[in-house]
Amino acid sequence: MSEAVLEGRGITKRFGGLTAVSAVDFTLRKGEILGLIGPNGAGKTTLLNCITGFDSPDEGEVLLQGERIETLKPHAITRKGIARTFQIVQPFPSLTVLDNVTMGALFGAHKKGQEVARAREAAKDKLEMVGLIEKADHLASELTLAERKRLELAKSLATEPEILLLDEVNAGLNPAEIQVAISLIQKIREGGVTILVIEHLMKVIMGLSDRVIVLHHGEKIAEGPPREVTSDERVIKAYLGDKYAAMMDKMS
Amino acid sequence: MTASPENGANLLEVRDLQGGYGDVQVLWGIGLDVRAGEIVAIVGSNGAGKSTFLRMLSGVLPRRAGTVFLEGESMEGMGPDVVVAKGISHVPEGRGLFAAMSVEENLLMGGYARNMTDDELGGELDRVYGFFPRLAERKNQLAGSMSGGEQQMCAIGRGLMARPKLLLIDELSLGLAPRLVEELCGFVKQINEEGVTIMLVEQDVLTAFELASRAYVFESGRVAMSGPTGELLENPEVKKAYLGI
Repeated sequence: MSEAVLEGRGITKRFGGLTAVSAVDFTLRKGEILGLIGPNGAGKTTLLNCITGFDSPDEGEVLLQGERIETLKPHAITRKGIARTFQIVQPFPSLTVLDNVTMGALFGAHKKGQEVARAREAAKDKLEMVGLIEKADHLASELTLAERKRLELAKSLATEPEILLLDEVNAGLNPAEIQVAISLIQKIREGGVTILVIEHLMKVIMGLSDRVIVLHHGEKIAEGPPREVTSDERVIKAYLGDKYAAMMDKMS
Repeated sequence: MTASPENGANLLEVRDLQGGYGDVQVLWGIGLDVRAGEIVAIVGSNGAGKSTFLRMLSGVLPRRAGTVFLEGESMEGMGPDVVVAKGISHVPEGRGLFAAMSVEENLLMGGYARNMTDDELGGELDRVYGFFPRLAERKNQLAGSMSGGEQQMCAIGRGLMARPKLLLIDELSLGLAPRLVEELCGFVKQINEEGVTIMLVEQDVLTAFELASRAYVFESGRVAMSGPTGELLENPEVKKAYLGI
């Protein structure tokens, strides 16, 4: 078993009377893909926000290679090598696709002081990777929703992260496009990036994850290999539903 | 409810519809028919023009060429308000709720274009709450504070408030947990059984084919294939290009 690169210990986040994330522990091991699933409103994005400094947890610790980071700001965390995408996409709408990604390259972990021309070349590589290179000169506002999700991915990759957190980056893709997306994420992992992926598309979760964590009402209700988790009664009841569970049964 | 056209008669006829954004032409002559009482699906890759097509049907985007007939009447020159009043409601991709308004206020906005009396609006609200009891429980909650599944129910409910003959739904399953997709499909079937014709744009091709009796496959702004969903499911090209099998 490889070393832990990112750990959460007892992470709790409250909004007024609502406990969005409740005492969640997790470990992300070097080189793995960890799936994070759960009903809408279960606290998945809030957990991601706590890891990346967009929310500060009320209790608990986030450890990056043993160093506590839960009080750091988002930009500092990015420069330590953690990148993320946003479920509600966050492009610079009036910049071109290429410039959006160039921003990521200029900003990222190991690129301080990098010249724009080189950052632009790096950005082109990322656009090539995610299949958006033909749209490089379009304004971000002209992209379809699924293309904007690809742009999110390219932007985050351009920061050259060691850890990549993906928040529903494949929503809006059809089954054939999902296949392509799965191979892309596998390729990113083969490049040495450790990945946490939030997704409702079970095809992505089952096809990619080494392990899966399930959140429900802010609490971790299951953790384990994908097939084990999807046959867990609580997970079926809270998240998958009977029809999907029956489909999985038939496939096995 | 307004009188529904007889089941099986053509409710919507689209001929050679063209349009796009700025200099970019997206649709290159779409032709299709929707019969009263059906659920019809539109599938295709990203960028194929599916959402653009719905926007042009509902008048949100201008139609550059071609014709659309609703129950035989040309919809030429009709803007979104008239289209809603004529009987087409559009549930947009990403729901488009008024986040800072309550669930009930969102629903009432849906009835606005119909110039209904308070009594009539109340009747429509009851009907929507009948379909979605969870919206009734949450009617005073801010729409933006609800979970994704509840927001989708609210968006569909808002569309129903205008008493549509044809309900356009763009990406029913987007960002929703599998259990919720199953639940929402049940609602869509129920709404259809109550007499509302439905046109569904959906990336989850299997879910779309299960709900719909017929489907149109869009490719680069044109109809590449169409037919009963059972037949399309067996089509090797569809399997390869859209199901990834």
